[in-house]
Amino acid sequence: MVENNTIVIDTFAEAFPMKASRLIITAHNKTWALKAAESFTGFATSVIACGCEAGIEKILNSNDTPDGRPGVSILVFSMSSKELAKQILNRAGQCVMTTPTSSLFSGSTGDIKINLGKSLRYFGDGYQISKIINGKRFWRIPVMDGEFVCEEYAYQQKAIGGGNFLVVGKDIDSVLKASEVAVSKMKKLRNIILPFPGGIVRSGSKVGSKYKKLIASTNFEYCPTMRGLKKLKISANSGCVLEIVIDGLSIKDIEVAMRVGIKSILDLKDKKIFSISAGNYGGNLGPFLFKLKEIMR
Amino acid sequence: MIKLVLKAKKKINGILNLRNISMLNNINMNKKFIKDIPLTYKNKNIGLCEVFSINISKSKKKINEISIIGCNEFCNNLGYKWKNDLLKVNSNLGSHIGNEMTSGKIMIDGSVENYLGSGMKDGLIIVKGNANDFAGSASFHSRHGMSGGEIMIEGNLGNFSCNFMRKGLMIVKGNVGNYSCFNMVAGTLVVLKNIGENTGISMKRGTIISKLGVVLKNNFEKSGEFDLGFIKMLNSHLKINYSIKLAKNSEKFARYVGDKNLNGLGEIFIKK
Repeated sequence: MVENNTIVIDTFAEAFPMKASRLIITAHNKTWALKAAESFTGFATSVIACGCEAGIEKILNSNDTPDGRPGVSILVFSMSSKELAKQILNRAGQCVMTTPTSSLFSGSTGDIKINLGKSLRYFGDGYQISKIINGKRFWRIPVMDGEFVCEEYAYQQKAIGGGNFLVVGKDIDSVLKASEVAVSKMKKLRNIILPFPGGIVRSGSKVGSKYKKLIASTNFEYCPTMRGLKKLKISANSGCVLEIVIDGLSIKDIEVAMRVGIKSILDLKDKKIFSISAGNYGGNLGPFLFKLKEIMR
Repeated sequence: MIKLVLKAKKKINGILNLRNISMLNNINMNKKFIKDIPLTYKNKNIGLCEVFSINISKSKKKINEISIIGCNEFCNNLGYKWKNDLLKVNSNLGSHIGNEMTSGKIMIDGSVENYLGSGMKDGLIIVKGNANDFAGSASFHSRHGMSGGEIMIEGNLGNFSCNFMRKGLMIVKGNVGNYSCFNMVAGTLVVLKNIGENTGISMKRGTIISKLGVVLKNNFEKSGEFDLGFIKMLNSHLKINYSIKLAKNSEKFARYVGDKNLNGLGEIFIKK
């Protein structure tokens, strides 16, 4: 499929099931809500070594938050319920509770609970106060700027991680610009995050390594500097490949995000963008296959 | 679901115990069963059909709706252990309304006497008029006051309210009488006008938020003036569910903690 000089390769992105949770962080103003959210979602690019993948989903205005203050909605993804609960609790304690004026709430509902205030309350050393409002329990923990308000539980839900597409082009300028445009459009969507820095990843990985200790290593089939050493999946004149990875709450959310991202690149009509491809492991790793041609149809 | 209307056949001029009306939560809404529900009127056992006319119809609502028309201050114990259903009353009522209620909703388009929602566990009671003494407090036989749910009183509240309160939220649009929240263990009382004298004596935990009022200096210590996230959250809840504005943005409340004579961790917020 060729559109605006760019080839959409007949391949698929391979994704896998994950566990996710939505949290809402509020603060005295948007700046501090963002600082808490950025801290929480820092070092959360890949489950390979971070324990979770997390990102800012949306900036919320005062009308959309439980306490009527400016806030940020974040999504956290992990491979197991246990790891998700651990990451959320640690990050809530070290990144949100420590941020001035912040409060932390669950942004979703479900049957599987993740301890938030239920565990963090002990920081109050006996002076914590519990309040039930609208059927939900909140904890008020005394801190040096007043109180840290935290909902008792967050909730786990099913999700999908690893939706992706690759932008293949002539050089870093054109590919980076095209990727940035795609990210800016995709960030407007709900129910997804782009967990990597700026939404873009340059070190695409494959499963395994020649070194036994490593579970992942560089995906050399897309590395231009490997030309001549290995058989590459990119054309001879391609000098740069960047990947956009998407975690979402449903198949549809990821499909929509991929469509919006790829379309925004095609609409650039940039002759230096040669193709759009996707990373997969031959269909062996994940049960969710996002076929580019079907998505763009 | 079913809509049931019970209309008083005559003026009620003696004590009428409506405790067994709560049997409607458990039985099929069948006229045959309903008319035999036992009530006590002027110390005599009677069937429900002797006092009320019964009208049953189908409703598109998701819960059963029971309307009672023609009650007055002689009608006691309505909504005892009430659950699931919506109970609507268009008149004043007597004492012990919503006693030990576990869920559902009671809406009273009038005033009530003593012991409203005493021992209430969950659910919602809305009173359009006033409530007399001991609302949300412990009943005669118990040391447990209200332990969950929400009570909204659009008028004034009498004395000795929220005594031994353990959980839940009581919202009063008007004034609250004296000796409220005595021995309060937890829970929240929100007052949009004035709290009476001697409020919060022997408070262990729990929260009182009032726009006006004087706090006992011997029992409570001022801890400062704050603009807390919890109050904003409560404000948001009241605005959405009851169209009440407790405070404007960034408005501060003076916080008093006590009862210090008992090393209590209760708190009283008074709007600045």
